[in-house]
Amino acid sequence: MNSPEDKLDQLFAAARRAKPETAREEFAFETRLTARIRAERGREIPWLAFSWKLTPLFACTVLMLGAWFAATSTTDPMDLASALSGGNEEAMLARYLTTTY
Amino acid sequence: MTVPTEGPSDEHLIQNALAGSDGAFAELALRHKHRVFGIAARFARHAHELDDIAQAVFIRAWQSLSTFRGDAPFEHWLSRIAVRMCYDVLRKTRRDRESLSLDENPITYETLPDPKDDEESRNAREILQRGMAELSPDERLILTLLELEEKTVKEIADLTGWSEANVKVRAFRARDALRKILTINKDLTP
Repeated sequence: MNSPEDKLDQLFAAARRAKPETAREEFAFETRLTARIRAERGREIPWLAFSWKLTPLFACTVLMLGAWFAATSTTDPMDLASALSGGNEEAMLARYLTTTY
Repeated sequence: MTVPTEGPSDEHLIQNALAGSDGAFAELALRHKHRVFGIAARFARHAHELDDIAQAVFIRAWQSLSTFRGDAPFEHWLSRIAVRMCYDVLRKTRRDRESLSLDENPITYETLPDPKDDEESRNAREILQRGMAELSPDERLILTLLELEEKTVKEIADLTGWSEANVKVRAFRARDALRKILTINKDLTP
């Protein structure tokens, strides 16, 4: 007695015997592929590929500029935030109270 | 069919292809095209689609050749690309089919011409194609690899990137779904 499971197995077994025949489609495939690769290569934008190579240079430049700004920037003594962070709040208050505007 | 691999090794050809040699990559394609066509033929609906899939597989391989680490044979790496490409095609086909109304040109699964087919095999394949066309892409992929290509669970896990447990569960569900579809279609009645 053939159960649906057995019948399904028989279908798979019969379908397995029919290996796909692809010789005709494979003919001269390398030639078509090489032509396609050349076309793909022609579509590449050279400057785009080159710009990726410049990424480390851009990163270094940004880091150097950051370091340079950090080293050369001076804190404004009239700036409240920097006065507080530097522990100069009393001097700041005295200056504020004694300055005439 | 095994393509004789006389001459330079795959690794040597890969190095040359990476250095820009189209001839070296064409030689790789010549050696391994039969395997790629064999996988794609299980999923393609007609000869043009088969050629498109095979070309897409080799173009993807060419684009990512620098990522090939060589810890598995090139053929295995290429098969993985082929299986994933076929999965993408199945999903796209499914989306296209869902976007068509029933009155519009429905997609039918043609069989590739094969003079060696016997009547029973041809019928079996047609019944299976009809039934499997109603499955989800992952169900269809897994049944094709497991039942038609006779891959092991481990091989399927390697090809698809799914875990072995996941492959087993998906295979069980896919087989169950196909059995139900074929029963409704009365394709499993003796």
